[in-house]
Amino acid sequence: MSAKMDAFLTEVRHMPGFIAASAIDPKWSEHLDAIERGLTAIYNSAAAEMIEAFDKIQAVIDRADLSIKEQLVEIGKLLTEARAAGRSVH
Amino acid sequence: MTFGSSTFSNLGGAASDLFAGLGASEKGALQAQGLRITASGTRIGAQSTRLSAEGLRIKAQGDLAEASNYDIAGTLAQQNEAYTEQSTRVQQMQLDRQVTQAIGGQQASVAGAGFASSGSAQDLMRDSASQGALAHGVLGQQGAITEAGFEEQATSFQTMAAAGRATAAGETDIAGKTDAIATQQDAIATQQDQLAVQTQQAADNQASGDFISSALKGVAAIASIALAPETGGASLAGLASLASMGGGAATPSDI
Repeated sequence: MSAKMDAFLTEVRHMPGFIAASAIDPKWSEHLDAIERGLTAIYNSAAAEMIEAFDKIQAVIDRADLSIKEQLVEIGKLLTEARAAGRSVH
Repeated sequence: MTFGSSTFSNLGGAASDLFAGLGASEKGALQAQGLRITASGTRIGAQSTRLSAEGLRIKAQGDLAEASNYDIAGTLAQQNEAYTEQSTRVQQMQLDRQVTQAIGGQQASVAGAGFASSGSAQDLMRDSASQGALAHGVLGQQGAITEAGFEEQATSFQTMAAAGRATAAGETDIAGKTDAIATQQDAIATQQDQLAVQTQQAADNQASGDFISSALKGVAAIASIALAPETGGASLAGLASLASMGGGAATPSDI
């Protein structure tokens, strides 16, 4: 993926809430891994909709005016759009 | 830190999507591989069909060569028939000549002996003439029988030649149709290869969709952690929209 995306995921991994939750249950790390796999799937896709979605997700990460949680919410919206676009491609 | 029931349900959902994605990818790859193997088999079948067509063409060439030989044999039989006819005629002429000479000799002997050409002498000459006519007839009959044999041979060879040509034509026709089948088999193999590519693409798309679904649930779950009071989470507005994404996101009540 991109260095920017990797840095964002590292930042999430170091969130106090995430550290606390993953200390209780390792499945929270699996959630983060799932996010990484989903973003990688979008990154690896040659479909125009996916390339556009990845660019938008990177733009969200670039936004300094948003907190991590707000960025996650925005990424969630973009993932929903990407999933819908992928289904229409089928 | 508090987690709602939907937060935990996201865990199961994300794992399910992950396995579905991996499964879809592997299943698609296996299906595509199966289709490619099938396509290879179909191509081998096409090659085999082409070989059959080639075999039929070679057999047709052999049948044509055989027909040519029958043609030659038929011509020879016809020539033998003509030679026999001529030979019989010549032999009859020679026989007639001998009979005439014999009767002439008898007449000279009778006359030389001072006998009249009557009575026993005449009976003798009449018998010679009769024997000569009989021998002439026998020669003619034998010649006719031999001619008929050669004619029968010629007809038989002509029939065999015609049958050989007809068989060769049929084999050539079937060879052409067999080649057409081979071409169709190649086309089917190409379609199977295309289907393999499409199957792989569909599986990849399915896998991507499953991975994205899994990621979406992960985002919803991790966002709920980020919004938990002890992590300083304040903005709850986004969760409502996440909850509507179908990812089963946590709701403010979960936090």
